Amino acid sequence: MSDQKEILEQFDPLTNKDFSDNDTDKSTTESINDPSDKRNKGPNELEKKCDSQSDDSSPKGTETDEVERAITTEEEQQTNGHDDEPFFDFQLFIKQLQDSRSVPLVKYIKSFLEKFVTQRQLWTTEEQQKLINDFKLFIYGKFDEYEPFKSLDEVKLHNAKEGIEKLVMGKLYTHCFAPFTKKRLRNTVLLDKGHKQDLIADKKLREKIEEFRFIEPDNLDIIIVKPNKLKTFVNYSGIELDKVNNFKAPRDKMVCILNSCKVIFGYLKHYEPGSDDGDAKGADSFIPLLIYTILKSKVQFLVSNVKYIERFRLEEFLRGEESYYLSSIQAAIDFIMTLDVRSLTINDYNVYNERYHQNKIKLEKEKEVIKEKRLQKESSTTSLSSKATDISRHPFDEITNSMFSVFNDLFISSGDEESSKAEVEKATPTHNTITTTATQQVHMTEAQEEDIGVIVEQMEENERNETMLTLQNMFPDMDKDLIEDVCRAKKYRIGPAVDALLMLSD
Amino acid sequence: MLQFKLVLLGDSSVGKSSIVHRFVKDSFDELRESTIGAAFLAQTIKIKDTETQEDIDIKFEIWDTAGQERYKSLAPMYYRNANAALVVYDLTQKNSLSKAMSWVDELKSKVGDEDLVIYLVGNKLDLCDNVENRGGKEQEEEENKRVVTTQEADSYAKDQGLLFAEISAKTGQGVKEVFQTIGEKLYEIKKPELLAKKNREYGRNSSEAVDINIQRPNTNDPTSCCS
Repeated sequence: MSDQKEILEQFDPLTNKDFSDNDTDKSTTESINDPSDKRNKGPNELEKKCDSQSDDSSPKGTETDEVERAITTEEEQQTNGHDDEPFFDFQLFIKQLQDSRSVPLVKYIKSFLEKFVTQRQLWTTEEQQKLINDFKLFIYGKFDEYEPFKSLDEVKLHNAKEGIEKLVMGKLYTHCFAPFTKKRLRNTVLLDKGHKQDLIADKKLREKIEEFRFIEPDNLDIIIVKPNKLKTFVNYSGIELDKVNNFKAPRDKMVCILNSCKVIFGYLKHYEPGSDDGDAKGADSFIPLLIYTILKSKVQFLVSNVKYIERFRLEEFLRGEESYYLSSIQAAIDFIMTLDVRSLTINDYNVYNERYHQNKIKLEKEKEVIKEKRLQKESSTTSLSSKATDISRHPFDEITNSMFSVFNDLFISSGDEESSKAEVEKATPTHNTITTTATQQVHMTEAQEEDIGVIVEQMEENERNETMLTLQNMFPDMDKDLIEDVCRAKKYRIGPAVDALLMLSD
Repeated sequence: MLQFKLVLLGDSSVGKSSIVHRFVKDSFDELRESTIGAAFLAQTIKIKDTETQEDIDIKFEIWDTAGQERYKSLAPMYYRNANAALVVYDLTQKNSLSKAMSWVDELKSKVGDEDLVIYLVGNKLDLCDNVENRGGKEQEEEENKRVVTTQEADSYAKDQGLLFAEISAKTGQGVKEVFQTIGEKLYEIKKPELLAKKNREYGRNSSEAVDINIQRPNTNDPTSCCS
């Protein structure tokens, strides 16, 4: 216990101890005070890496840059400022971080990430939460000191804060998200209590969902007017919810949850007349439908995802609406976890029992098939990694990762399977610098910068196509061009687009 | 701006959501806080500081709960960290007051916060013959659907130290006043704490439920939303 405290203190970025370790305390401080002065840096590896990244970052053209930046900031604000949903621009943040004046911040981040993954193979969930939260607050404090962050307005500063969270969590995902932590360690025994509990709860929830996936709306007292429409919307709501596994950043996961809820409200708003006092549109209708949606969905690792958001989403962001809908997901999970016959309304027990047992038999059969498939796979070597890539196909995170790789001296790889293998082999519980990443180091070149642009464009294109496809399926009677127009107007965000289309369909 | 979390409790047919709807609809500033759906709504009102006569913005974040008996066990997820609770019953439903009473009991035993403001609200006053206003009692028995007397609920509320009102979400009668009163009450309770905080640090967010944020001037908002 005291050992843990010691490490926490040592790790606490606010004490700045990790820098004094390097015996270059003075030079570090100096270079932080004057980011452009890189000559009197200490000889440690940490800073050398930084140098190689920002070789061309001599103090040049600050005045014109400033003006240009001011102009673009204003323009962007006009387009994004008063939107119904704050628009998150990760690319903008990465650009800000590439600014030569951000070098000290980049160094802090790099140092933190390095310490986090090397100092110990695994922190407890409580330690992780504290370390990461403290670090975020520390860096946010530093925003007041360094350009280009120093002169950002409130909206842009918020964007930068989100950016930090996404960056850090993207890199520490395999350490903090229980299903991936398990994969990284290759052994459940090594897991700490918190992560273990997450996984146990995931499994239990999945079992409960499968046990009761056959129930009908009236078992939950859901009174509906349009059963066919409900089916469609519940289906899409579930698909949106399952997307939590496509993203690493707590914010991105949260957006999936909100979109899922939005689809449910879309149904309620437009297909259920409700009583004249409007109660049908509130929680009395929403919460049962959310439970129903989860029971009908294929969502995996929902508990782990919720816990992860709870732990690593900055408290300042997890408020109001976000907080309400996350609590609702938790409430729905709680309900399902304790679900049994007694929690349902059953009109005809014979029918119910029949369906229950049929589902059981079907489930057994499905399990058999899965088992066989697994055995086949195991004989053909890479079952583990193929399963991992299955859940780690993420459009946005690929963008993140490709940006990471260009910046890569900043980021100790831990996102992909290959390097995490190396990490597990190399890292011991004591201090140990990861040499593999140093050899992978790539210099920032213009060509690569172009590459990012192309990759990002492709990813965004894919994302847009996927959104279009989802909406077309959701609104089969609607003109494709109309859907596309709405998508464009709503910046391809599924929530607002669904809402607008529902309005049009009336 | 002060921000408070308010939770809605009550049986499913008492009209808790419609009270909030009425409140939000009758407030003049545009509803841009809620983007997802009607289970969570946010609304800002203005109150006056009784000493300085200064206008104070109060933002309510209103958390709706599922009122059906089956979902009762989920309520703690919603009322934790709440600053105020609106416990709603139906003046025309016999059981609904006793259900409201059980909510009050639960809140008192489960929510640690001594400062939690609990408002007992009887809804559907429009369906009741308003005895006080008409003077007469027995004439229009047919129309009067009231089964819970004012006196019964009022004395319970006094006994328990709750705020109490009978309202109609349908006509809007008494709705605005309920939120106004909660706002004033919360402000009164939190004022000493807020002043101390204000002196230390202005405009910083904290992890506590109550914040002082410097509100950015918003040209879209009319100067006041409540009279």
